[in-house]
Amino acid sequence: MDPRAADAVALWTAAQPAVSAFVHALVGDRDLRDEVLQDTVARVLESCGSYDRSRPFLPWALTLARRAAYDARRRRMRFPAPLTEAAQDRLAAAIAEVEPSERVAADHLDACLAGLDGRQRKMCELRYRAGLKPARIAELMGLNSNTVSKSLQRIREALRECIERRIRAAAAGGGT
Amino acid sequence: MSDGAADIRALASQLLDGTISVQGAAELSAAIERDPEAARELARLAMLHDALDRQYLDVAAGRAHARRWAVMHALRRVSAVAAAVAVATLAIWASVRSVPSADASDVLARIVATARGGDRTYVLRVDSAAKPAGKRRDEALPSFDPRARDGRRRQAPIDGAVLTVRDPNRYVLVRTDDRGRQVVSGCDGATAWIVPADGPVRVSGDTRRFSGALPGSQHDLPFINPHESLPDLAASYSVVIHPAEPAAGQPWPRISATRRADAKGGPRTVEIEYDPESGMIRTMRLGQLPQARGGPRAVTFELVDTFAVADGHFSHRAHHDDGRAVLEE
Repeated sequence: MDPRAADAVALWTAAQPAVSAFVHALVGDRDLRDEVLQDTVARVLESCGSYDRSRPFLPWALTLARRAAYDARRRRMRFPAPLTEAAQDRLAAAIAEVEPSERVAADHLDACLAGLDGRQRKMCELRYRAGLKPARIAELMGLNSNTVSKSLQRIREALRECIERRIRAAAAGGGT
Repeated sequence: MSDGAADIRALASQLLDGTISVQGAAELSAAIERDPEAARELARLAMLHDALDRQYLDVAAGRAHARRWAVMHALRRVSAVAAAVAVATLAIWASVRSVPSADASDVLARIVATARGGDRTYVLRVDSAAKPAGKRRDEALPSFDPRARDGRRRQAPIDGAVLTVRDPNRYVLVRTDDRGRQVVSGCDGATAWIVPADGPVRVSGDTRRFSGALPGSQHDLPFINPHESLPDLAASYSVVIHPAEPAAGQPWPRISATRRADAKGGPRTVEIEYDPESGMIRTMRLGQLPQARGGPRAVTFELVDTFAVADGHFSHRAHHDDGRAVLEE
């Protein structure tokens, strides 16, 4: 493999979760996100010769991902994106900014998921493993759709708090 | 983050769950544009959402398993007696190849009741099998447009057109003419408009104006909102409901409607595939459309997207330059 391409693959592997998160926010759909990610990695490999190694990789990859998302939406005739262009600019910058700390946060996710109660775990299973939308989850669990949406929001907030607690504790040297 | 942080978190959560409204998306965009902390909040949430996705989706098989689990979970929710009734009902349903018209209106009513609102985007396809030999009717000069008869204007074909609809009475139809230029027509709920490939934009307070290109519209059929037209089907058509037959390549239940002899106007046949869970129409085929006023013989509306579009998308201003002349009729 071309050394530059091999280098790009290594950089992509590290950046992929952040790019994936960004793309999901742009397209709002898991299948389309995966399609865009495939297109993005192809673009990364095609363009790695033009990548300036003195600059950070993630913003460059986010730019390529944004173009890929735009093209995918055009191909599938999904227009316009839910977020404005200016909001996408801000989000890309924010993703690049928070990515290092969020990479650490992912290490604590397992432990925090174990702290969820049965109903919360079930909801996560249905949302993330089965890929069901809140309305369908509501039907299966005999709940109101709005209740499920709010519960999912609360679950994610609880996970964030748990992760931050664990990061603080680890930084203080106390473990968890 | 400024005040309204809880609202931003709720909107960000809705964005990632695919349930955000057009208004909500606009509010979230505005908040992100003016407040970097709001952008960081969405970034953190998006990364957590992605991490959860990866956590639960290590292998593709996991998702299939979870879907099966979801079905089992649903079955476990019902009591033993109710489950027995449900199984018996399913067995009867499975044994019946189709449901006669007497019960069809109930099914149609259920579809309408469960139909989700929101934006829907369809691609229109002219059925090639229904195209007459020789000159394509959808490309022919439509007889309902007198300018076309004179040969001064050739209407853009609807084959391949993209139709985005929103209740009530909002739509955008994008066609491409034979020179590859876009012709966009639509209605924002109060004003109908058309942005031709060249010349001035035309707008009208008559919301039915410029809708002639939409199959069915010239025959007084409200297909801009297909769900609204379903109750009319039961009134004027003989309707049969066919269950889904995945093994036979038919993944969705299908409504097959034939216009009654005493009913006037409209396509001779209507076939609709629908999602029984959401009530969403997946495809709708209008067959044997009346030809007296031109247009294609048969058209299929194929659902390609349910993603929300911006409010401004239904205004003509979203589809032309600011400097373009606009004529009010």
